[in-house]
Amino acid sequence: MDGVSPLERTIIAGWNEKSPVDCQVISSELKLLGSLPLNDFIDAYHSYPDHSHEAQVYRDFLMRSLASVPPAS
Amino acid sequence: MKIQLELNGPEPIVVKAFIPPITFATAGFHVDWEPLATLREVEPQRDYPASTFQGFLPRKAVSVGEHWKVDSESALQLLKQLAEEPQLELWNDDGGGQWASLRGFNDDHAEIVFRIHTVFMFKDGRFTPSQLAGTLIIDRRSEELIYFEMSVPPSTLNFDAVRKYDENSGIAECGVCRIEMTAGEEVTQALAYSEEIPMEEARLGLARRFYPAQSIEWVELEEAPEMAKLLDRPIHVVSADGTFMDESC
Repeated sequence: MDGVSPLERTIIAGWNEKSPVDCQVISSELKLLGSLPLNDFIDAYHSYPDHSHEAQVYRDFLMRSLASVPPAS
Repeated sequence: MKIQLELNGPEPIVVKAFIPPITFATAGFHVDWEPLATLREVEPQRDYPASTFQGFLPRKAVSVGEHWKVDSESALQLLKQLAEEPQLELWNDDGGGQWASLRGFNDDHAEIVFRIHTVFMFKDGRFTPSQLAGTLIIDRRSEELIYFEMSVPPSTLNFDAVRKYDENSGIAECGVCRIEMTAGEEVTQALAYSEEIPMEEARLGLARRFYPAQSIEWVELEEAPEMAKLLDRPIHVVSADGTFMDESC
């Protein structure tokens, strides 16, 4: 991990095993607030009958992550 | 300013096509899978009517930077010089199709850039070049095609392939290919246009037609922490094991 920046450390710590793509929300203090593996995202919106809830599923992930943002000091 | 473009120049228009043997693929399919091992142009040279290229022009007057869809039939006519069974619908996303844009013009010339997404179908699989990027230069006074070129841009990996073993299973492959088509005389000196946009901007505009993510204003990793502190906002990261576009693994 030599030469890895603090942000990169947080990103790597949030990687999900065997996931080709991870979407993450990280606080300005570089704390991982949420990490969504691509395949979980696909499974989630495929669980809807018409597979048409991509935006809603992704928004839910962002909202869940942002709900844990610590209040501004 | 909007201009109308027409092609009525001399026919036939002679197009040369070239696909040399693939020399690198990560799983070696270019050696032991016949469709990839023998991938070559269907015909090195073929004659076309001007109407084929008219399909690359806008059907109404356009201004610089404006986009339009290339006629599917025109694109397929040319692609059939490269492959027996090209199609414009991609396999696993909605990124298929073909778009063009006016990059620049003056009283004498007009330059169109375009981007085509295609897949070459085989009996037991498919081959998807990352994209076909092209340029078309027209003499506006004689309504003649001066130059046409279309190629797969060089990249670390610029094709994706799938070798099917049965109806439901296959193995993906990726590698480096070279695919080129040309017609006319290459314009070696830059043409001085009265109105134009930079090539990079024109190409990005076309990429955005296929990939909404290209409209995101990405921030360099090194700049993100400082910007987050300054704006007091969290960082939204997309960490991908591969590229964000052009379907090569």
